[in-house]
Amino acid sequence: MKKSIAMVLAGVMALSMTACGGGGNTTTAAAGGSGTAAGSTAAAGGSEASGSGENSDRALYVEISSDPGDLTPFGNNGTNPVRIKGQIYERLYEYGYNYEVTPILAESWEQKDSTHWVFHLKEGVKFSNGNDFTASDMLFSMNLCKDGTVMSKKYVEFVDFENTKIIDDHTVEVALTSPDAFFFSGFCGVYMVDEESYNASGDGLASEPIGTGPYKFVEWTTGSSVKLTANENWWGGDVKIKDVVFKVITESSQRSIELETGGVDLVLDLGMADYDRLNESSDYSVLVNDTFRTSSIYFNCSEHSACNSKELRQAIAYAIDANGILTGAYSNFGSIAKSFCNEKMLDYNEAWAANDYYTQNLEKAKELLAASGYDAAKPLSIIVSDDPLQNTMAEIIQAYLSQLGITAEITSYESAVYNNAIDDEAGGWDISFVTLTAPSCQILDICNAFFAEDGINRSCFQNAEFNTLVKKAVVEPDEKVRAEQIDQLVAIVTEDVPAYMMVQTADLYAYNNDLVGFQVWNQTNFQAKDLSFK
Amino acid sequence: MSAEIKKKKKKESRFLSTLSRLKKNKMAMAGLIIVCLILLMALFAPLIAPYGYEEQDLAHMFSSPSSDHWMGTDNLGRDIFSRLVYGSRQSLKIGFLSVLMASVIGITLGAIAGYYGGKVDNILMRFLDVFQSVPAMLMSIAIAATLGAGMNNAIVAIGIGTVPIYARMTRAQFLSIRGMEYVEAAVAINAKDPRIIAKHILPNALSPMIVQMTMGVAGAILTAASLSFIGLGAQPPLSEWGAMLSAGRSYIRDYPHLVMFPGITIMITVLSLNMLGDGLRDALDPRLKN
Repeated sequence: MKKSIAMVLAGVMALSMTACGGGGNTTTAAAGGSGTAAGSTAAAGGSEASGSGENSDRALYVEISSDPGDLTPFGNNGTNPVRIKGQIYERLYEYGYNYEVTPILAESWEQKDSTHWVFHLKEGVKFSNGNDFTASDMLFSMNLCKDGTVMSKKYVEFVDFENTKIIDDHTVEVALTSPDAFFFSGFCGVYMVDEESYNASGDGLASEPIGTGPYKFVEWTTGSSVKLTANENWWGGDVKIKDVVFKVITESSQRSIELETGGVDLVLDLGMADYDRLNESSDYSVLVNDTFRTSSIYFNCSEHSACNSKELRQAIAYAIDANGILTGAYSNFGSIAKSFCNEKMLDYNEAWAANDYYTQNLEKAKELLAASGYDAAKPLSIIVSDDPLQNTMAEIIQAYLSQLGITAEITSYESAVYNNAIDDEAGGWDISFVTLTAPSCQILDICNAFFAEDGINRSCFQNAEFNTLVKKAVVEPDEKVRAEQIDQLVAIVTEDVPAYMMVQTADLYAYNNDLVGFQVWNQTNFQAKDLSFK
Repeated sequence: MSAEIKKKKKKESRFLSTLSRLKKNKMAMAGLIIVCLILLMALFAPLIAPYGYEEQDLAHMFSSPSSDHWMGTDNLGRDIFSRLVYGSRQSLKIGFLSVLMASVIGITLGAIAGYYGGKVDNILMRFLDVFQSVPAMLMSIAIAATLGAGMNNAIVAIGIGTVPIYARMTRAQFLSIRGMEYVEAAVAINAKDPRIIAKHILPNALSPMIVQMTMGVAGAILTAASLSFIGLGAQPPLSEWGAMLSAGRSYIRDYPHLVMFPGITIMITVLSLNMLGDGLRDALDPRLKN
């Protein structure tokens, strides 16, 4: 009897191991349990209500892949926090559906000369607490950016605050310190914040975000969900869906299960493995959206790494078959990069694709490896975040490098620690992963932001000619001259490979067929205000 | 000379009687055979596995079980059977070495505490009380997270986390044996403490340790699998059963064989070790049976 019990217990233990997507899943599922039930009930309610045409009582449940971590206006601007903040806060204008410029809180704007822009603000706009949105709030928000994170500083990098002035309650003239090709695309990152609420909050609106957007903040259960409800003060009128609940579902396989069991209505990060099954179902719609992002490996070009050698970086690029990455890691969603730039970028030049961009060539890789003088006895260090995709890519690259006789060791870091690890060029890493894109969708912006000495140059790439050219190009008013400069920049980064572009990625979305109006807003976002249930 | 022969015979007879009792326990023997087979599999992995554990074939990802790939292939086209065979090396290495580490430290601490008693016992036991108040799994995760991911650190993490179990068991045995006449006799003839501990008490206190160690290997394999599952165990491309489970979980609905085979392998190994441990306990101390 005792042995039988032991057998059963051992079986249960093994099964629990299988199911232990574990601690994480259980937590999410438990937290989502109530959400799941609520979602199902609401879904049923929605179906019943479809005849009467009343949908506003049915909440929209949206999957996000991680906890937002920070809902302050200019704190964490990662994909998931922005998906939530994008419903609460508004900007003057945005690159919206199909990446077209869409006025939001700015009625109109004009560029007076190369260093002066005038913005006319919408009248009658109120924050969710009832305060009026005025020009002074805009100026206050710009100042918050200036004193904020590395990213938010970029939004107002060239703004001349001393000469920027409020003309009237709804007109602001923004002065620039010098002409900037990316002022307009960068400036759209500035969320408009209520000065009074911000100063009164004491925590930078972290616990209770207040914006002018169609939804207002209700509740945030860390690691579980964020609830929003319609902002009755919204200038755009009533929204069709009153309540929106973002549910954190970290486990990729769990997301489609939640969709199929009615736990969520919209999955913003569908796992590639789930595409076929949902696509074949008549109950769900699946959207594959080619992005502006390029999945790349990022070399540590500093003196602390063997990848300081250009020849070694080139050898590694030649050793990798981007098709293998596309197939093995991305299940063929997306396409291989044919140049140092995603072909959707607005300043992309098709001529770049005519040249060979590190098509796998082991012979050439071996020659370059020999020329680099790399001591194969010392292994290379690949660092990855806890993202399974990065881990898969690292394993594939590890196998490719072994064909050159290079041993690569993979070290996995928790996401937050990973960013710190990349920032520490002396920390022992040689290769990391980065997905490159820019708000402006321009390669020049990527060069400026990620590889110029004044940018977020985590690869510690140093090339004097490149730095000089970038500085010239970003203030160059003549488009033809700028295009030539960009050509030269692309040639330099292609030759020097501070990063090797592998796959132009695609995002997968899935939603219930009774959800109407879903489109990708900007690059990875959506607008709950435009959605409704059938 | 004759005394040595007698001693040897005594030892042999004890071993043989234990073995004969163990032989009668079919479940325990089945467990022993399976454990031996798994050990042989780990030892001769390069001869048994048809492919290398890191050999990728991106043209044949997610293949179902077939004659080419008995257990199919994973998300990188690697042969699951070969990875399981090689993975037994990592899993058993973690299991045995962590138990070895925990038992050496635990038995030493327990022996000192149990033999000397008094303040030494009090200090050591209170220290272990604090240590044991933290759940073993949480302790292992904390240690592995502090030391960093990797096989050796996982062994240390699991080993340290289970030290109190061995220390407490040894102390309890020592406390009961400490007052026996033969120990008092050894003290009376002025034998030194280390000799009394090592020669007279420890051999008589080992039976429950052996059982605990056998069960402990099973527990350590499970903990190692859990650590690998959350990315703190074996690192790629090393194959380890828990890491295989973790990597396969994203594909569980469409390609269940990615998690099914590692899961079954862990189950069989843990079950066998538990059956063997259960049988050993009965064989070493027949009074405990039923």
